[in-house]
Amino acid sequence: MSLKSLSARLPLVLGLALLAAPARAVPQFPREISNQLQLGYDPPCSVCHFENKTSSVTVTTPFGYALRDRGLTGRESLPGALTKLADDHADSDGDGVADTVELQNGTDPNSRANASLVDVADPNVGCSTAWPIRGAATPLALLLAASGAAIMLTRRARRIPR
Amino acid sequence: MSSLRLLLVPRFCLALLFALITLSFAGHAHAYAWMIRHDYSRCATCHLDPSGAGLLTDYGRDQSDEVLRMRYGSPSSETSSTSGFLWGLLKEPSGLTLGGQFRPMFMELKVGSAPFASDTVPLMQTELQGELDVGHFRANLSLGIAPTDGSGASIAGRFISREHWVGYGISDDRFLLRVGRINLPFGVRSIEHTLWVRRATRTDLNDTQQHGVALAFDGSGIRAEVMAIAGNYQIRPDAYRERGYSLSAEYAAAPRLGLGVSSLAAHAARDLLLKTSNTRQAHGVFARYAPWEPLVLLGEGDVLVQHTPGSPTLVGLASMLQADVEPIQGLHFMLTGETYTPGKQAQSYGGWLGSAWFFAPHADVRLDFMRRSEIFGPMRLPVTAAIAQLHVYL
Repeated sequence: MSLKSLSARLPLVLGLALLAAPARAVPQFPREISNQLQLGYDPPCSVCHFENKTSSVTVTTPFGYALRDRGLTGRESLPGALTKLADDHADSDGDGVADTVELQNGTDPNSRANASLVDVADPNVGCSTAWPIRGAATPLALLLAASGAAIMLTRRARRIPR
Repeated sequence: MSSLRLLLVPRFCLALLFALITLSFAGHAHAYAWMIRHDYSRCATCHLDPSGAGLLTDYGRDQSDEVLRMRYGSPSSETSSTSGFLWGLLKEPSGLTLGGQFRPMFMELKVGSAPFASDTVPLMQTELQGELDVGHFRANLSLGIAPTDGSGASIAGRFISREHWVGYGISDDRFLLRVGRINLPFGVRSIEHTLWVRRATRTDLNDTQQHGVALAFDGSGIRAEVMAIAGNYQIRPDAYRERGYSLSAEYAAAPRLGLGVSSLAAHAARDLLLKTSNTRQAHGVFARYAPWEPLVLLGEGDVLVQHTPGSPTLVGLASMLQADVEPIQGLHFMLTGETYTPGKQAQSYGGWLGSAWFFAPHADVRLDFMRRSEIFGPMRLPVTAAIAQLHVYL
């Protein structure tokens, strides 16, 4: 396969590959928070992770910082940090309701708007989430496929002798 | 097959393999607003994006080699053969521009009274980007790996695409019309994506790009871009997608002085952070000034407006002032002060002390020490971070 045809077909192949479904991280912390505070639901990752991005470096929401301030460094330190948080009546969003009470009420301890954590799920991410129909074309896939097709057509047109 | 092609194909495959291996060990765009010290008030001189960041033009690559990196005594007017893609190992076919970034990070973070906690993020930034120019048409795509799950740039798990757009250049490319996922035009386009001015306005280069239509203008002495935001179509449900506009314009009042304004308004039925309906606005000014070549001052101030139904409208402020000092070519020291007042709460403030050493062509190491005093509800927490990064631009 020539370099030209490879570069022309690459966007098309990538466009098709990007129709795959998104991977999701396995939730562990939410269940432990739920069990300890007897919530009856698993709080969304975005309670601790900024913009729902999950890794140890994104525990930067007000509630996440409040837990870190109380010793959260990993899973084993979570129960102690939660206990301390409850004992301190920490109120990360300053709305007058303690964080642990907010979680028990099903509201977001980071939001003064008292957004519900029970009815509102974190967003799904990934290309296959773009349309309601799973696996349907996405803007990125369409752009790639359109670019590939345009380039191939342009080159084919150039080869036709006048 | 011609002898030239026989030569090029194996080199292309080898270079691609090398790039993939490098990237597999190690993403977001880089933008150095302090390049104004070299009289570069325009971004499009060195970047394919008229508002800056991301892929470098051939000229940008040459300038990176001549005026960005440490020269160790060799004349800066001699461009090294290593300035090209993959340090010159591969010459892209005509019309195709390639680039990539690799940035591992090590961080020590201390929150409040807790001890320091270490984090190593080997894939802090891992990205390949390419642009194809055919006549007036342009197609740009970035693909990379995110260090976290849940990135708004995700296309599948941690596999991300921050930018992908098609564009059409008008009037000798003084205007560029783009459709796709694009960096929001707003404020100082800075690599420090956690600065409050970037984070509070959600206009960083990390993963806050949105899908939409943008029109950029790059004229003599003025550059501007306005974007109609259709939402981030890599998150779902639709309620989380913001609709609105973002714009930025900068006037080069002097060769080393840029004065700019920015404005943004966006509404989401369910805000990503507040999880409730929210209309947010940010309006601000920014400036870049090099009074003396080794010193560049960057400043930005943004008024933030947040309106959620049933709550009073909150008006806040985010600001930043940075001094970048380059005592010898390739070695930078940065001193940054910043403030953030989200609304009725007291002011958070912080300071950064950083250094960057561009020790080789398209390679630098960066060290930052950050200290912030942040307000969370009634709490004021000290947050201290020490960050070390290696950065390689392919």
